[in-house]
Formats: sequence, C-alpha cells, structure tokens
Amino acid sequence: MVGRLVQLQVVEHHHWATVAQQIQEDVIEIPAQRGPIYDRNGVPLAYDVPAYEIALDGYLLTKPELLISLLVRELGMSAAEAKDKVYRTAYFTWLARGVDYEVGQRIRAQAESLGIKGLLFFDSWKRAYPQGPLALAVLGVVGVDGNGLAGMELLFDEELSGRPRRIRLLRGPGGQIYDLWDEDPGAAGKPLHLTLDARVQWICEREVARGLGTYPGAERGFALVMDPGTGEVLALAHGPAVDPARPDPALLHPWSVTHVFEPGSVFKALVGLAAFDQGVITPEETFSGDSPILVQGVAVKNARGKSYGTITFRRAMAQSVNTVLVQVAQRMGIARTHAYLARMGFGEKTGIELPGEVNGILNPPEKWTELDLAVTSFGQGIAVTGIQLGAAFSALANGGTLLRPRLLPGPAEVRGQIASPDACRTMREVLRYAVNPDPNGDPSLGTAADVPGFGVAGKTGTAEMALPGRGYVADHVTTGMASFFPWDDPQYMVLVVYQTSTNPEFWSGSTAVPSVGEIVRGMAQLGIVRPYAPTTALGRSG
Amino acid sequence: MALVITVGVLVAGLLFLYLWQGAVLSGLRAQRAQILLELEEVERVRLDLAYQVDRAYSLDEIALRARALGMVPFDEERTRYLVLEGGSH
Repeated sequence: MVGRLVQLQVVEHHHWATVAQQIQEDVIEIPAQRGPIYDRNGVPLAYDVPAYEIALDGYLLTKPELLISLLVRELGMSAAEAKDKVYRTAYFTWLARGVDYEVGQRIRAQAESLGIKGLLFFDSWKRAYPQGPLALAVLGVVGVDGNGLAGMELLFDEELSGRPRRIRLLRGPGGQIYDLWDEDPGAAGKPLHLTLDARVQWICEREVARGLGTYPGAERGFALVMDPGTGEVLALAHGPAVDPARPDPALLHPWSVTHVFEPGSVFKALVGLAAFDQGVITPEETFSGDSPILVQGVAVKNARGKSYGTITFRRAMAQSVNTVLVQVAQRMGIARTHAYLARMGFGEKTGIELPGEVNGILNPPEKWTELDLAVTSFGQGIAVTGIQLGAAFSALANGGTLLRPRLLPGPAEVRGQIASPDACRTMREVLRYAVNPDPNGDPSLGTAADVPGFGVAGKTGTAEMALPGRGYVADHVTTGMASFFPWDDPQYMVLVVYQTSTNPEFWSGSTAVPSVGEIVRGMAQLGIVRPYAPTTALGRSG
Repeated sequence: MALVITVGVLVAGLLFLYLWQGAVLSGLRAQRAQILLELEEVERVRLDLAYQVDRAYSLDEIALRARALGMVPFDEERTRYLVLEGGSH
C-alpha cells in the first residue's frame, strides 16, 4: 500500500494532478463588453446589454414538442424552423443568438418548469441602441459575433472590442462550484465619444423622415449640421432610416460620404466666393440675365428658360440665374476657377472618420473646356459628396478656413484657406439676401428657410442627374440647400439634400429649403439655439 | 506510553483542527463563489434595467408619450409672441 501511495503521489503525481484538474476545474470565457458610443453630451447612442445565446444538445433533449412551442412562443420562430432545429441529430445546434436578456430568462425558467432538458444557455452581449435608430447610418452595426460591420463600429472596431474575461471554476463531483477566480480579468472595449449632438441629430432625422414622407417622389435624403468654427459634425442624418432590428445593408452606408452627386446651384455660392476673392465682381454689379447664352455653340439656359434682363449679382444669386454665373466664371477663367475649387477640397477626401469616403470628381483643368467651365459655375459637370459641400460652406461661414470635418472631438485641423475673410463676409451677406430679400422686390428661392431672429443665409440648388447612356434625365433630380446662421457670425452650417428618380417637378424651394427652416426651428424649440441680436440692418429679419 | 498517547492525541487534535479549518475555508470559498456568480447576474440585470431607463428617456419615446398625452408638435401659426417693451430678446 505504501508502495502504491508513493507511485500515485510521487512517481505519477503530475499525471494524476492533471487528470484531477481536468475533472474538477473548468474555464469559462465571457465575451468582452464592447465599448459604448456616446454623443458630445454623454448621451449613450450604442452600448452592449446582456443577452443569451441558446443552443441545444440533441442527445440530451427531452420533450421536443414542448420545446418547439416554447421557441415559437418566445422567439417568434416559425413552427417549421423550430422543428428543423429541434429534430436535428447533433450534439450542438444554435437555437438563437443575441436573445434579449428578459426573453432568455423566461425561456430558461419555462424550460425548467416544463422539464425540458438539453438546452444550453451562454451569457453574451448584444448591441443596443437606447436612442432607437438614431445616427445608425453613421454608427454602423455589429454582427452576431460582436464585430463592427459598418460605420464607426467598423472603423474603430479594434478600440471598441475588448478582451474576453476568462474565469476558472473549481467544481465538486456533483457539478457544484467550490471556488472561482479570474484567470484573465479581460478588458471592456474603450468608449467612443463623438461630436454628434443627439438632440440635433434627432431633429435632423425627424425632418429628413418628414421630407421623405411629404415631398412627392422623395426617395432619399440627408441633413448635415456642422460647427463651422471647429469642423465638428453635430448631426449627419440619412433617410430612409435604418431599422436596428433588421438593418438593411444598402442603408448602412452614409451616402453623404460614400456617394457623389452634382450639387446644382448651391455651387454658385462657391464660384461667386472665388470671384469676390479675386475682385472680379461686386454684389451690386449688373449682368445680363437673359437666357440662353451660347457657349461653344451650346445654349446654356436658366431654370425654366426664364430671362431676367439686367440684374445685379446679388439678385442673380437670390433668383439663381445660371447665365449670370456663367459670365462670372468666364471672367475668372478655367485655371483660376479650377484652382479655387481644388482649394475648397473638391476632388479629394475630407478625411472624416467614416469608412468608404469617396473623392468626388473634379477633372483636371487641362481637360476642361469653356463649356465645362460654364456648367460648373452652376454646379453641373462636377460631382461632390455631401461632406465636401458641408466643409466648403463651413469655410465660407467661418471666414475662409477649410477644416477637416470631424466626428471625434479634438483640436480643429486646418486644411487651407479658401478665400479672404472679407470675400467670405461679402458672400455671406449676399446669401442672407438670398433667404431674406428686399420685401418690395421679387421673392427669393430661399425664403422658406428663413426663421425670424436667426439670420439664416444660404443657397438653394436643383440639379438633374446624369444617368449612364441617357444623359440628364428630367425626373431624376437632386435638390439641396447649403446654409448657415446667424449670417454675420455663423455658429451652425446646415446642409440638406434630397433625391428623386420619379418627379420632374422636384424643386429645392419646396423640399430642401423648408427642411432647413424646420431644422433651425427645431433647434430653437429644443433650446439649442436662441434668437441672435441684430448687428446690422440685414441681420435682423423679424 | 503516556507520552505516546499524549503526542498521538495532540497530532490527532492538530489534524482535526487542520481538516476542520480546511473544511470551513472550502465552505467559505464555495459561498464566495456563489455570491460572485449572483453578483454577475445582478450586474447583468442592472445593465438590462439601465438600458430600459435610457430607452424610456430617448427623444423618440418622449415624443411618442407626449403625443399619447395629447400634446402636438409646435405650430407657428397657433403661437403668439409677447413683445416686451424695451427688450429685443
């Protein structure tokens, strides 16, 4: 006996100790809690909540019919799907993953009371969105394994993912736990704080949804609100909205960043800014507003072919007269106009923290013809992203400094100077007039964006879309308005864009423009902005 | 002989003390493990409840509940402003 004792305790000690450890000890791994995402005020936009993953050991299963009815009742499975899973002959079959905590608790309790055996419950996490689908096109989603699949979740997947926790359990012969300790405490994912303001985002999403539901033919839209002084994005809302329960991959790309469009007349403000900066025009200078004018033998027309006679540049902007901007661009010439547009950031990524950003299309100047110059002056023949347009208008609003648009807080990143502060101020004044013109004069296209006391300034735009092999198509239209307020010291830049593929009578004045007004009004109603004191006669609108 | 018995009793006493203390420690460890597991569960319940509170305070939910109470979105046409003498705000 002593000899056997020595054999077991000394000679074969290591072997038997290992066998005992395998029987008595167990390691369980708890997935890491993914880092939460907050808005600029600490409002949670996405975080992990407890959930269950439920599997089945087919060889231990009892009462399969009761289990099928339980799955149908609690998980909303079809009877056929539940039967297929339950009667599968396998040691391990996933029944459901990412099951809500409460639902999992109910299933576990009912399975116990009904005497159903063979169910395996695993603790896990599930991404939850306490604000509903707010900013989901920007945030992105995570897959069933907790990996980021789109948006910020994808771009910052490494930071948001933590390290799983490993716990070692000491079990008795009956399976009871005698002791446990952290073998690896793991680490939760790091939190991500965004520049978004959940309130502004909500206002914008609500407005885009209203626009899509109200404006005939509207199919998609976005609204961007930026702080022009810092480049911070306060809201980037896309519609149609993403359903967090069943996210449509097509809607998960923030198309204001991943897709291009021809900006239309919104662009006139930037071409005009370049002309002011070069000193080739003044706001009160008069031009011929007749339509059409011939450029390289091609008739360039105003909207609806309307002629305006002799008209000042200021009124031409308020009435969005194409032919006047063609003359302005011709004064600038191809080289200078192109240089300004490149300086404004068109044709290159802005560097915003979102995956899939595209460059936009700004052809090199040597490929431009006089006709290209003419149509570019009113925003056709050039393709931009929404975020490029927003960044350029933010620069116009802040006195000419082009900043990198940002979704993460930090110091402002200067990309260049697009024009002098004086030129920017002159253009801002012209754009204020485009929203709030002389009460005795003709109405302006941007008046629906005016909100008394807030000094909104901006430029509208309606552009037909060019389709491959079909050229410009009348019922495929992009409408937009780029604006800022208050015009004399802008604190906010607001850009709204809608698109249709069915309505030839889709105009910015009845779509994007009122949406800008509603967003400003919504910000005022929630107390985010207050009416501004007048600083000049133009600054006061009501 | 008495010495052997005394030593034997002492050893047996010490052995008993050792085993008794070991058993107590094991029992405490098991209790601690159970409490830790319960704590994990309570923490998961807390996180789930925190989510429900956050959800209830979201702007969407507040708007929904306000409408259910009969409140309506702001309508400028039905709003009258008071003009304060000498004040611009």
